[in-house]
Amino acid sequence: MDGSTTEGKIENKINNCSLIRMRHIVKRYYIGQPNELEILHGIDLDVEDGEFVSIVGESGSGKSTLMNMIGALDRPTEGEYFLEGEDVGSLSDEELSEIRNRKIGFVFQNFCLISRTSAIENVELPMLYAGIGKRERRRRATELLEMVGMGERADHNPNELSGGQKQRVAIARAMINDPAIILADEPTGALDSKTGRMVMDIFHELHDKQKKTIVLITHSRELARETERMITIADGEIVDG
Amino acid sequence: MPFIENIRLAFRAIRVNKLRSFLTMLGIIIGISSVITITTIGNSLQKTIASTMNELAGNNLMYGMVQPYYPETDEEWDAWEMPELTENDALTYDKLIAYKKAFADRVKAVFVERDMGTAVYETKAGKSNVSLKGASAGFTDIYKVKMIAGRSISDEDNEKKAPVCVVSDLFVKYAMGLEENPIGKKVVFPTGEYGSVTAYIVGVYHYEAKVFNDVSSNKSIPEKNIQTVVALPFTYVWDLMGFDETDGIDFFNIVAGEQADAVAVKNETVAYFDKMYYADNENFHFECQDMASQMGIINNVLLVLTLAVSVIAGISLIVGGVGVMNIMLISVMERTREIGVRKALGAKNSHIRAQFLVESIILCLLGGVIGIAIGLFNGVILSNVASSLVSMYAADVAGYLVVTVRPSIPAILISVGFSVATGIAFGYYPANRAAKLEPIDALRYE
Ligand SMILES: Nc1ncnc2c1ncn2[C@@H]1O[C@H](COP(=O)(O)OP(=O)(O)OP(=O)(O)O)[C@@H](O)[C@H]1O
Ligand SMILES: [Mg+2]
Repeated sequence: MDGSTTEGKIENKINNCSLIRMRHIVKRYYIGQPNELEILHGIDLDVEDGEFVSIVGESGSGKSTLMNMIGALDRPTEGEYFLEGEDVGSLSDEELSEIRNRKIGFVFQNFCLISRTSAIENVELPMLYAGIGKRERRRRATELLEMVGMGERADHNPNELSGGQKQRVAIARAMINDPAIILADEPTGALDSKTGRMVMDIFHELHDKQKKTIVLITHSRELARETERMITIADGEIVDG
Repeated sequence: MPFIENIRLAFRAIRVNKLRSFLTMLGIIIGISSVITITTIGNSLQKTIASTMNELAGNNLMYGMVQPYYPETDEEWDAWEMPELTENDALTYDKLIAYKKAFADRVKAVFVERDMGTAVYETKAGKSNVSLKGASAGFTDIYKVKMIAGRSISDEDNEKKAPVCVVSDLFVKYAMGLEENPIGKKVVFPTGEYGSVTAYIVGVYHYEAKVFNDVSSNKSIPEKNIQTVVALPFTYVWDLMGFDETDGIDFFNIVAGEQADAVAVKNETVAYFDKMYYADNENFHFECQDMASQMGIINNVLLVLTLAVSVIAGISLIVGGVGVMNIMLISVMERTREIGVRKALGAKNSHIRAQFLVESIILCLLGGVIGIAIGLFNGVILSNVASSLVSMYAADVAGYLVVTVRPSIPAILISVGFSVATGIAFGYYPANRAAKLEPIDALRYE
């Protein structure tokens, strides 16, 4: 089932199911060892299709840990997680790769572009893993780079780009497979406020014009207030939102 | 993910670490290049021998000779003395003719020759150096010369010890100063040792430099100064030189018939001579050597050499492979975060495995290709050096030498195969390790 398609969305509506539905998510490290550590203590979280949500909280409170779980990069120790009605906990590594490939678009604080690889090739990468042909990849990647205002820099390698430019390429890359959700972990954290603003504007545009579901982690209450809903995490628990 | 994409990635990764990649390939380069060098030389040598022999007399040329029984132990050697060759033991012209008659259906030529030395022929018309050679019938078969007038030395000439000779066209032109047919003309060659040798010309052959190759093959010598062979009947020369029945013929040539099985002819020849002349002989026996089995010996030597080099190459491939594995493990570690990012973007384990496996294969293949190139270069150079050494130190056969430099195609294909196999064998573990990294661990790797 491909939830990002119209059928997937309709199915969610029929099942009366949120896009993201987390129930009692627990994450522990060093399990069974004396220094066992519980980071998330039973998180319940729902995100509806088309929502723009921000997650805020103290450093070390578990925001990134939660985000990685949403993005199927990591598995919860306990709890249930449904993405577009699909039980993510029951999927194999292979299937998780496909989920990340088709349904999730990651934007990281430190950009995470592949070095010595041009902007456009970076943007194409998820489509390459999806097995889409060269022409279609080029066409879509060019379109997205133009959307984020990076059309001119398509052939530049990451080391020739500024932080803000890198982040815009990363956003284009996150969008390439038209994912169900964009997950952005402190996307403006490494940028000055002016460039950060520009990146935020792109997110707003994606949300307003393309109705993208976006989950944004930020340290800035100011930016968080721009979103539709602000979730506050403290010590591995949702305290607000 | 298309395969071609992995190849591009591999080349990019190799280019980024040029020196490191090259050092890694070194073991493979050395291994492959040594195998290609030796197989190129071996193959060239084989081909050269084969085509040279074909040039000489095909694979049907053999040598017959009388050999003493050599002692087997060291003590026997100490007491051993070369036995005296008696009239019975010695090979004579008549014995050869008897053999030739018996084997007429299977043997194309039986040839024996005796060099008599050189002479200076001088008339008013000109002057020429000649080398006098006593020859049985078969002169044209063995030397592969073409008669352009008259006939060659025959069995009958030998039977009669006839004072006849066959000269070259150059001799006719420059020494005799004749344009027209010299058949029937009398020539006298003043030899120092054997006095004047008189003969009537019965045939003229066309001189070809490579046939009577010696210093005269040197192109800088003017045509008129070239020393050519004058062939006289073997028996005539034998008498002139003062030999008799007790002076044995050292060896003679046999050319098996084109349709005949050379090996069978050889065995039958040995059986014939041993039965006829050496049945109860304690001192001597007959021996026959053929080119084909000589070549077999050379081939065996080459095979052993190739195997030995291959074992060394195999070891250096393993060492090279371990180096590749080591560098691939480092590469995977260095690129852990990249692997994490790729996985976050949806790369499956199989994608990552393929990426690193292809990189390792390309690394080895590149080493293999460089090795093949170096090996071919070495092989061609060394083969040419070998043949020019032959031309320099064995000028008498150099004319027949058909130098053929042929790299061994199977060796090249096998080398490519082994390079790829090394890449797979030693790249699999690092690639699999990369593939199995947990996405989140890889992404957070510092
Ligand atoms: N692999 C791990 N092993 C052990 N502890 C971990 C691991 N990953 C994260 N943690 C711990 O989990 C806690 C939450 O980390 P997380 O990265 O989620 O915080 P965060 O809310 O994103 O903080 P920040 O705002 O600084 O990014 C931290 O105390 C961290 O030490
Ligand atoms: Mg964080």
